[in-house]
Amino acid sequence: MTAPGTGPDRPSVAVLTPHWGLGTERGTITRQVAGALACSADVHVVTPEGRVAGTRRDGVFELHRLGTSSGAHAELRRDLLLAAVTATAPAGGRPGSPDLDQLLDRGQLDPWRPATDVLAGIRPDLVVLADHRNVGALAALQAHDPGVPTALLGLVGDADHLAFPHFDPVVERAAHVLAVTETERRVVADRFGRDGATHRIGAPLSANESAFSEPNTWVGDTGYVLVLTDQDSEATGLQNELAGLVRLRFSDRPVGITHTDGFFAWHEGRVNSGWPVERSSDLARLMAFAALTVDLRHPELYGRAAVESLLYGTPIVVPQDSRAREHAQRGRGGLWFADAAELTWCIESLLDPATNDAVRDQGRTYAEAEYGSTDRFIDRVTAACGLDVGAIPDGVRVGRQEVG
Amino acid sequence: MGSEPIDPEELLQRIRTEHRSLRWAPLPPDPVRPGGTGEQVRSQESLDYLHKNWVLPTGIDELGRPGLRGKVIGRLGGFVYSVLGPYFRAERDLLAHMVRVNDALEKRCDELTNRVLELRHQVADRQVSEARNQTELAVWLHQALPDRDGPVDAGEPPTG
Repeated sequence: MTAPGTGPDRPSVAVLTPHWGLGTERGTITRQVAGALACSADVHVVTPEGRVAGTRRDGVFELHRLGTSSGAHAELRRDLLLAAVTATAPAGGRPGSPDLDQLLDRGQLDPWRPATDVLAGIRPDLVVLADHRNVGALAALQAHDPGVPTALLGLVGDADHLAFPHFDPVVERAAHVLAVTETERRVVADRFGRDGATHRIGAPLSANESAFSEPNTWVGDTGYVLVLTDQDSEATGLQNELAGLVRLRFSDRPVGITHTDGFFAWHEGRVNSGWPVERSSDLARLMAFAALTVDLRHPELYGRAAVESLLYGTPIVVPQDSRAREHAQRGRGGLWFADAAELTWCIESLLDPATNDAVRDQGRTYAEAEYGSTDRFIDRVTAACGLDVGAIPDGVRVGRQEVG
Repeated sequence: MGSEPIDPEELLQRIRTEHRSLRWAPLPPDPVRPGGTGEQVRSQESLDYLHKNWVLPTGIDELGRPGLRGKVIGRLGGFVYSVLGPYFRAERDLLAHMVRVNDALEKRCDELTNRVLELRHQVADRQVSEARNQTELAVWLHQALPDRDGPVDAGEPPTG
């Protein structure tokens, strides 16, 4: 994406985000949404991060760092509190009380207070709030101008996160809500009854053609089952138990398992171990040559690895409660399991060549349509935020990449 | 898209339905050929020949033959044997050791053959026990899982 430049006719957009980085799915999609908006607007990113307050250029963005972040502690405290209350609340209930509100706000409002002055300097035509729990940014926005048009990048994930009425004002304040997946969109639309104002935007992903040039040396081009975990190989836990089950049940076929401490290629009871898969290009090579990808992890937002696997033409198997299930179910690119027995049945079924071929084609078609085009993503984000898609200059279009 | 479309929800439902009835049976033990003399060293005839013929002649028979020819050959043979005697005796000792080594090898081969056969029987016995044990486990699991109400088709435990 090239910098479109600035101009007096371009609208000004302020993106208020608690984090500005690429390390997580939430961080990456926030930056991608800001990038899409930068095609037709001047984008100012406001974040409490940074050791000192200051403004600098960051690519196509004007980055305003408030230097007030209390680190991860306040968020961790809030998330622990949410998890604890969710675990003890009755199913389907909406826990809320003045005491709980006070606890949830602790450490969340003060870091955002300087944002009011920053917004006064920017005078944005549109404000995008990132994260539906961003009550601090909402407070700063209200203090600046309660009437400025606002969109929300929900980063909701699933219904559990919308159980707390404390965060409802953030969603209600926004004229448009941007959701990454259809599941997330439906959850928000059902909860707030705003089907027309909640938009699925997907994410811009692509399959790297070079991933097909050379298979991973530990498993080769053997039609193996690729199992993704985020656990150490020696750790005890459900993921490792399921991974062990897969390699035992399908011991006549190579099974490659990624752990945090290494990559393990099992075949007929023997194992070859290699370095941990840390680079995305290494994971891409593994997915490109696999017969199917079993992602035992629970992605934080939408399951980027699952979508990338589909883009490489590799069907997926995911847990029933994974946010990546949508890609298997709606995208018809794989299967999902509720227990260990179903996991083995799903793999067995998808290893059938005819089934694998059909699901592979379906999954790739879905992934390319929903996630494989940066141009479509830009259009969706621009339209969802109420900006003019026609104002996007042709120069920023990246075109479509064919792979596989 | 060349292949027939597949609805994952339908496929999953079909998989679940198919697996409601337990279609599992333990692996039958591998066939084991009976042991016996047929498995022993097959070159008994050659071994017998070695035992009978390893001793080289110790002298020349021409000594007792009449005539000048016999006398000449006898004297010449005696001379040759007197010169080469130590070598012939050494060669006879060598052949004797080789025959003994062959005997020992034959014995060892037969022992190993019997041991392999014994192991194969032990493995087969273990397979039978494992198969029976797994059958019992499968039946127990079937009874323990409330939502698996299909018929058990685990087959008869193999007896080997």
